Amino acid sequence: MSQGLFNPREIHHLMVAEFDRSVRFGTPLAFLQIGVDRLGYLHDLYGEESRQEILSAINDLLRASTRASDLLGYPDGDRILAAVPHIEGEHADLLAERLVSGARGLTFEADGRTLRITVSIGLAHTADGTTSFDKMVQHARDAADLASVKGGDRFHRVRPDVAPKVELSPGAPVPAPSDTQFQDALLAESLKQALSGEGGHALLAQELLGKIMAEVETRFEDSSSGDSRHEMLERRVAKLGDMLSRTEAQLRSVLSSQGPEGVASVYQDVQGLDSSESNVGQKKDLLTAIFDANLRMKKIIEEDKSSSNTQGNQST
Amino acid sequence: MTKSKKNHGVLYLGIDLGTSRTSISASNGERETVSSFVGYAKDSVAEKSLGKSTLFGDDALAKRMSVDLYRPLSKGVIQEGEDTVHGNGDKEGNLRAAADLIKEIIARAKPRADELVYAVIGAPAEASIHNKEAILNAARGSVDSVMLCSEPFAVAYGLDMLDDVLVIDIGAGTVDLCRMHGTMPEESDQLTLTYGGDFVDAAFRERLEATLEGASFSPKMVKDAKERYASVADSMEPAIVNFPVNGKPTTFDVTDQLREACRLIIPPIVEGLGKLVASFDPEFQDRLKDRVLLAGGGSQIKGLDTAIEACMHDMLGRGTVQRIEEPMYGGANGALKIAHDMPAEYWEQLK
Ligand SMILES: Nc1ncnc2c1ncn2[C@@H]1O[C@H](COP(=O)(O)OP(=O)(O)OP(=O)(O)O)[C@@H](O)[C@H]1O
Repeated sequence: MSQGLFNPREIHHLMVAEFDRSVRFGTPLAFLQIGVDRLGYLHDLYGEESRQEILSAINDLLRASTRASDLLGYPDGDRILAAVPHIEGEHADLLAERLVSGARGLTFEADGRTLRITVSIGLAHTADGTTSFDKMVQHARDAADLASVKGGDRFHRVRPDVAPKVELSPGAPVPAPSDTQFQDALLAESLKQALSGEGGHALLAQELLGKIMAEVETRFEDSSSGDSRHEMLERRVAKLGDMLSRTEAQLRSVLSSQGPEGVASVYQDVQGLDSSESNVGQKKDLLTAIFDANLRMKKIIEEDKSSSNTQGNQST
Repeated sequence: MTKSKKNHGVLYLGIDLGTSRTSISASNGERETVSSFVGYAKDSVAEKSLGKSTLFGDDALAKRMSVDLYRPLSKGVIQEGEDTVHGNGDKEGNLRAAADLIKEIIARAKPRADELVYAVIGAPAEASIHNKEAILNAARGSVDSVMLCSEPFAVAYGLDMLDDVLVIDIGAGTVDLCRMHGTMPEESDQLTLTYGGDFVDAAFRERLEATLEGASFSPKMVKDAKERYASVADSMEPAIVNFPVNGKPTTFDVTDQLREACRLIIPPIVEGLGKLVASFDPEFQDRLKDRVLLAGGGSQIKGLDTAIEACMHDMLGRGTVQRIEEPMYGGANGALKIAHDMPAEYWEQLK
């Protein structure tokens, strides 16, 4: 955490580069999303100042628990999103565990009372087969949600590609569609519509993602009974995560095939060539300056050439 | 470039021409990096056994007995004379090698005959006009239009950090410092130090020679050990190497020697930062100190960002340093972004 000196957008850029590097060179990388349990409630009771104090204490804890120099992180709503490069999966687990227990040791004074906090941490690791930056962030987020709804004071790691498949043995009776399955069918149908509809894909998808997340959350609410139920829900999260990413991929391909540049622009996103509107004026000035410098250089070189030519001609 | 029909859009290229590595990043998704070595077969016998007359990168280095080896960009610019550690010294040879290297890296981006090819090349700020001309001429043979820009500027542009940022780009030959403040950096915004990776290698080697009695090691072994373990941290992973003594492999712990060598570059870098800060608008000096980006292959020395921060606190009162990841492609990606954002009419005018 660079104490807010680089803004979240800049840190985000750095994180994308970090992820990219990790994919290219096969170096391990972990994303952590860290939330303080009941932070909203603490905020209501003790005010904004306490909230800030708590968040910055978490920052400090995070820096102290990692090789601070390697850490990149920024606030993500009420949570902190951090990338820790060069960390193997099992060490990332240990780090998350350390943060959870470290948070338990933090105390704050407010209104003459001593407050203690706990945290919920979501962990996503490149070893778990995540192939895009956004997906990795999403996995960390989902895992943090899960840690939180399980009661907080814990970490959770989503492992999308190691989620066990549920297979029916041959001949086993096909279960009647449950309420849940009906809901899923509805969602799937809406997704299909989003994909085949004209325009506005991104918006529709956004809306659906919201719905799916809400759905996931309500299913977790009533999941406090028994570990097997947890496990099942975790699998569902993994499956939904997978489904979402496939949907995103499909949306992307639909969108790009309608784009004005067609296939030629397919890699623009990958190479960071978005046509983002940030700093347009400033960039234009810079580009003009580069161009002018190159034009000047071209002229000097041409003049040089013609003068050495005439010299050459004169001497012969 | 032949005048074939160019009707299938534009391929943009970003090229980072470095002492030790030359990288390309292209809008068609290609990314390539090759170490900046070029080797020409010594004679027809060698050519026959190599299967080709020109080798590039590590290939050239590996076959150095059969080729005339050039490292055309040592110290970041095309060498025009003096003998270099790894390369031949002759000027003509270096110019030819630089041209061939540029052609090769562009070819590796697989441009198609029916595409317009526009390239931005990140080159060291202090390259002479003669040098720049050579680079441009080399590129013109393979692209339709080409521009040069300074390497650290490309890094910052690629990360969208255009305002009040100090970029430290630690390459092999040089460390380039560049101050960004929303307009094109000028001469006074840039500083080049000769304390890059090669300097660390030399200092490390000196220390090894002084302390490891009887051990023999090549420059490559020294560099490999550095790249594997380099750190400036007090508690670092022990650097254990295997060097032969009288032909017998022997294990040495070279942690202290390596740490010492790596630490040598910190004070000059911070001094350089201090100079760029001091000549900046006083109102924004603190902001500048708090927005330092660390880039280039040498930025992978572990703990370097924290150590520079600490040294800045001592020498300049404060400092925050953020390491950018992707040292191999930071410059090339930025150059690609510049190429892509550059208005088409500018490209046209430079054809
Ligand atoms: N893991 C590592 N730790 C320390 N140094 C490293 C590591 N990997 C590469 N380097 C060093 O980084 C340097 C190369 O960096 P880079 O590729 O940015 O340079 P360059 O662009 O070719 O050089 P220049 O900018 O001087 O033209 C070399 O000295 C190399 O030994």
